Amino acid sequence: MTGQIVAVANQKGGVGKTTLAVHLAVGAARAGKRVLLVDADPQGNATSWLLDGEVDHGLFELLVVGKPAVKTLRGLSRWGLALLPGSYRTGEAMAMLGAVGRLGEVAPALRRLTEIAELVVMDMPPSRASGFTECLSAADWVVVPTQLERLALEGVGLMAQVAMELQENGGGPALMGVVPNMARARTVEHREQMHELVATFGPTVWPPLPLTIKVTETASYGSTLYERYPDAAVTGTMCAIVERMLGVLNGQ
Amino acid sequence: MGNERRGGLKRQGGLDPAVAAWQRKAATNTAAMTGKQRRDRERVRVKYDVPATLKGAVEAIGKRQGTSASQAAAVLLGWAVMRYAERAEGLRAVFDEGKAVSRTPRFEWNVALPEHWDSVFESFLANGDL
Repeated sequence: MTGQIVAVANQKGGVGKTTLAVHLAVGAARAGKRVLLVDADPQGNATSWLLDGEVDHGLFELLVVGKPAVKTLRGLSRWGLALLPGSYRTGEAMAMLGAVGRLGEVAPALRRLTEIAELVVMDMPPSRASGFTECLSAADWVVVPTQLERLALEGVGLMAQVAMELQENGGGPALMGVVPNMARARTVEHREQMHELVATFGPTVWPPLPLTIKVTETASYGSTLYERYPDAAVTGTMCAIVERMLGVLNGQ
Repeated sequence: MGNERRGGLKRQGGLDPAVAAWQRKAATNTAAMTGKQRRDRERVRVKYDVPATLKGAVEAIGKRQGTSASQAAAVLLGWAVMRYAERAEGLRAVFDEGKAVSRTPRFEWNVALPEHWDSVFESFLANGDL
């Protein structure tokens, strides 16, 4: 039985893709899933976060050099999951593959990762640069984090549209969930944008993650909310989001 | 052809309960409330008919205690309710002794305050305290 790929994507930057991808991956691993986190973002933030600032060109080596997948992975025993690291060279890989007409190899290479892990969580880049669509088309599901701001919500709309277009062409992810991030219940703007989001996406809108410095701190300390702030409200919300994801994966 | 109905409005499914809870919380924007609005949320404004002398006595007590007549009335009324809850005999007797049949269908009895209370209320008005 092969695993499933969940892409965490929004073309808008700074909405919390890496934070969500890391916590979905670690949360699912804590729930007993065999998880692989793929850092497909050329910024390599998830890699830096989990490998304590180290740079590793794993995804480049998989896609361009042709290294076997298992040799590109890094085990993260602390969290019980594996990481396929990414770096600025991921962007180069996509440009190189695009130049020689080999971008079509990206999705199959990523799909093969489902033979290794039950769940592949993919941290996507914040743009529709070369290779973005190919990475996305490898996914079964897409989770879209967003801030409750107009421009970020436009990113959600675009992601839903891209996913739909890919599906119409015979591949690509279904929209799994939309995660409002850095939400402040006390501001009129966030309240109204939440209303918009719910009116458009209904039950696929998942619990809103509140704005808190605790999330920023976890990255600074190379940790996760589960370990650093196990009793915080934001951690409870993150656990609820992981539950939603596992529920969908289990067909609930 | 299938037997199921097609077309029409597409129903939006139920919301995630956590999202609905967030929206409920957001609807009560307590941070934007002024201190007075926040206090008013906990209180209600009531209108009771009382003798003018009693109104004057409450105002005098409020003044004496350095607070508003409204807050003095709340303390005095609250204290009386506590005594009533404790089944204070004298207080319940006041109800019994002052009862006269009401002509309104809204309630059964008119209850008059004991006459000698009036002179006490007036003395508050005259002296500010006893």
